[in-house]
Amino acid sequence: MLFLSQLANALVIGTLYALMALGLSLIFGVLKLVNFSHGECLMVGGYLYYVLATTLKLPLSISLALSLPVLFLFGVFLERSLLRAPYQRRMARYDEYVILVTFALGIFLQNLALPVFGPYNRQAAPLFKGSVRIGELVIAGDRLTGALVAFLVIGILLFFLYRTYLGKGLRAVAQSPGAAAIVGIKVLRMRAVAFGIGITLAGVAGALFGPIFLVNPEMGTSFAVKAFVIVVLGGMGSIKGSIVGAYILAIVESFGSILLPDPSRALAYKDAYGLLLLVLVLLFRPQGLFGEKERRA
Amino acid sequence: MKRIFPALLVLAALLFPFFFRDYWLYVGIIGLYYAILASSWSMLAGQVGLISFAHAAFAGIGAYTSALLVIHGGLSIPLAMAAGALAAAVVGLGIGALTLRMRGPYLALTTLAFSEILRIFITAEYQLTQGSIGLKVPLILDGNKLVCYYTGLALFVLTLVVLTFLIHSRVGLLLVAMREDEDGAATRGVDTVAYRLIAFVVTSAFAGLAGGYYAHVVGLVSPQMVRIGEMGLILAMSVFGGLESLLGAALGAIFLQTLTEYLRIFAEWRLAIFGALVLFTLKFAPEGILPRAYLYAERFMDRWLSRAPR
Amino acid sequence: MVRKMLLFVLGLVVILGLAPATQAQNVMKIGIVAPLSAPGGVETGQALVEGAKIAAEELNAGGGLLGKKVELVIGDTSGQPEKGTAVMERLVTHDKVVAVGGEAHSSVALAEIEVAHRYGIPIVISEAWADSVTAKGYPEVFRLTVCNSLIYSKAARWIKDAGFKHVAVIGENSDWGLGVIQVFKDNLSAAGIKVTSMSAERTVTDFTPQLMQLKNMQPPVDFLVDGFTGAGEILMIKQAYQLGFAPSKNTAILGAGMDTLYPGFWETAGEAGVYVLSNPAGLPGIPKTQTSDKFTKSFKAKLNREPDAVAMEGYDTVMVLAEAIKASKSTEGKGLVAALEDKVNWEGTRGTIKFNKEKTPAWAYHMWMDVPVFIIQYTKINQVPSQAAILWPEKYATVKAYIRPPK
Repeated sequence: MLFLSQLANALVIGTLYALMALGLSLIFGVLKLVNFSHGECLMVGGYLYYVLATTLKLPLSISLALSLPVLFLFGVFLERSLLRAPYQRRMARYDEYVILVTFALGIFLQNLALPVFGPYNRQAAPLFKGSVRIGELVIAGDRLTGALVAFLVIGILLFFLYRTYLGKGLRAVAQSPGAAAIVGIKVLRMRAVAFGIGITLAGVAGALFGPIFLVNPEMGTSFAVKAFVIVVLGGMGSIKGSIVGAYILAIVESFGSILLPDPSRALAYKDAYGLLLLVLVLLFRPQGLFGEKERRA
Repeated sequence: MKRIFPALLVLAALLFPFFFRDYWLYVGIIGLYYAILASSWSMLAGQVGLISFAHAAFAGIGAYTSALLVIHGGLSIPLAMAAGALAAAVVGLGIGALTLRMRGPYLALTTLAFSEILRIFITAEYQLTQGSIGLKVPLILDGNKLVCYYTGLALFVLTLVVLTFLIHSRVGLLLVAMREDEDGAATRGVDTVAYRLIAFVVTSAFAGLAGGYYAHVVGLVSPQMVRIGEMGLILAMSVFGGLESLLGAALGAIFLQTLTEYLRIFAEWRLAIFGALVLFTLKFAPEGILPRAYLYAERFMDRWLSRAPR
Repeated sequence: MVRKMLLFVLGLVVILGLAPATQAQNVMKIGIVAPLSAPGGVETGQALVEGAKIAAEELNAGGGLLGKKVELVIGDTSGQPEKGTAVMERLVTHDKVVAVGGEAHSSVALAEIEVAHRYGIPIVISEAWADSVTAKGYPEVFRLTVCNSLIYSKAARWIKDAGFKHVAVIGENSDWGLGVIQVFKDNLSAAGIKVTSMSAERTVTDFTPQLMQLKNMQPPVDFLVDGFTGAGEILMIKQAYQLGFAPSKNTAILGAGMDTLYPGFWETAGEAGVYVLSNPAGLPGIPKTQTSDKFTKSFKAKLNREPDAVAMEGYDTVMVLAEAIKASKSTEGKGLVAALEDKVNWEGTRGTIKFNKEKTPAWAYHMWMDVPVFIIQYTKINQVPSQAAILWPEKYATVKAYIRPPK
């Protein structure tokens, strides 16, 4: 029974991890850059939902739905203002620039949230309260809501990527921007769309995590590190890899923290298990589970 | 003139403690720690093109190694500091060997994750490190501020000299060549991984050295030292002073450190302001805000000088 | 390039030179150290500073100290020990304060007392609970709040008397959290009560795996101690409640950190907070003193809420320092320390403050031994701490025993 409850919890958390990792993966696939401010974008989503639902007192489902376009526009704005021009004019040392600029953006957002919202822990209500009981198995309502909504969003995303024209355009740019441009796909627009969707996914994950783990300016850091581990584990830019990697990480965290013989250390190192996973991947399968082997000159 | 300027700078640095005492001297002592970190990090990011987020973590490794060796090993402080630098170099070698084989953002990702694991490790292993309470460290000569300051200055000059030497050596030349065209360098038979590894290990060692210095002048090290926010501060300082110049980054560090003291009134907004300034700098003045400011100042001075009667 | 750089350095020197180093003669400066930015406990820091400010206003309205106006110099430590050292250096050498008070993080307090000791400046600790702060035995260090051994040994005795059989403690791996675990282990194991303990990083947010594990233990856990502060403390209560583990009819839960006492608690914990136990080191109006009434009134007028224990401590801290300055008629370090030790006997917001001189046990040195400690239990949602049921001490108890939740 204990095993089953733990597994159920891991699967619920894993679905939410998948949501945020997919955003990171999509951005990497299309723009070929790691968004080091991913955790802070997740935090922005958390606060956005909180403000809509608690400060403006909108109905919960409307708050959640309304946060999607806002987050998308926020993502497009970031891409336009910080990433587009250097890409367009083929800035020297663009790779280093994007790492620095996204990291600095993260630091900025986190420290902006601090004076604006204060350091307090905020909580917006989840869509469903209470908890669901199946025999001995108990799953809290906020977690279940989070997992179901995340599941739905992932489903829509996959449909969009594989079944719509725009989605196919995104994947084409991810495979080869040059070839995509030749067949008439607007690469710049695709990059903005991909960044917008990526930020939206992170933000929705934040809005769903908010009721479960509380919203505060520093919430992004640990989630961001988890998302990094997941994409390296699954293979950078791989959609399938991000989903599988997310569940692996959630299961390792859940069981790792109860199976280790020294209970004190087991819990203390909970956030470090993923990092050990990362080192193992880099040692034995650097391209990740579903990544393509890198071609080198 | 070219000779006079460094001499003046050195003189100013040497005379600093005679004009500023007590708290401002303390600010100077801490400023030197950041100056070493910023200049070595900018060497890595600017000259080699490697972005590492573990620089603060390496300083932490140097600090804890040095502190523990003095406390439990009975080593003298200078020896322990050297050992701290060595420890940082060894860890740097491990991380570098793991990630530098691959291109792209792997180094940045892994070093970020490493910083977090190190913070968790230091907090969790409290029997060894005293955890979040912080480890009390013996001070250099009981914390005599003058000695601390000159020690820091000496280490800072050492960092600049060694790194400048490295840049102007054959290794430095190859590193810049690789930064501009890696495939080109590789096809001409340059072992790109090995040269990058050298640069990563050397700069990590200097971060470790800076950490050891910090431990023995503040008298306390805690896991807060390796927070990601600290790394953000180092990045801000380097970007401010310009990634292309070691001295520029160091001056950026001292400038921000001074600014911090004055922004105390806006304590809450301080880091948000720094973050915004960094974004602004990266977008509009990627060579650094201080070099850009000098440029404008120079133009102004020229105009002013040419107008003044001889 | 050369000239540019020179210009910059000269500019820097000029900026530095403008540093306000002048010392006003008719001002009495008192330093207040508190965590006012993350990662410190900002809520606690702000409450502390608010209390201290009210004290300074009151003193100035009454003509100041030794004919001088009282000025509080507030130093933000961010909950980081290194910053604590730097802030103390600044307060002592740059601002030239005569004494320092405050602090809410034990790790930072331990760094600060080193500096205070080095310069011989008295420091009154308002809200740091680790035993070692006073156990170091520095003559300059005083404390007018509880310490771990004092409060949790009492809580442990209460748990034993209330008949609980298996106590689980999950604590953060800070000095304070580890102290909580240690005191419960020491006091309960000796009495034959089973204690299960684990510690974790302060930033951990999901306790569900561990709580499930505890829920399935034999013999069943009937008392859970939540030894976290900040988000962790509230999340553990919330998650334990969602799992049907605690507070429940089988298991009680004690929120040992301060966060169960702030108004934000109900916003985040909601119905999970009903029946939660807490241990405040001071409740407004209990015991009733003149100062307490006056302070509660000014605090409510200013902030429109009931003062918490920390705000009361902040107020008492400044007032106790003022008493010492008045008694010694000087601002010299040694004299102030002597006055704090011998002459302070002042009725504050939580009783009459007097510092202990005995060094056995070590933590008792320069402690206020009669500091009030309570065990309270919330009985309704959105309840303020002073309205909650008081279980202990017997003198002030409003209910006979622990209230078992119906579910």
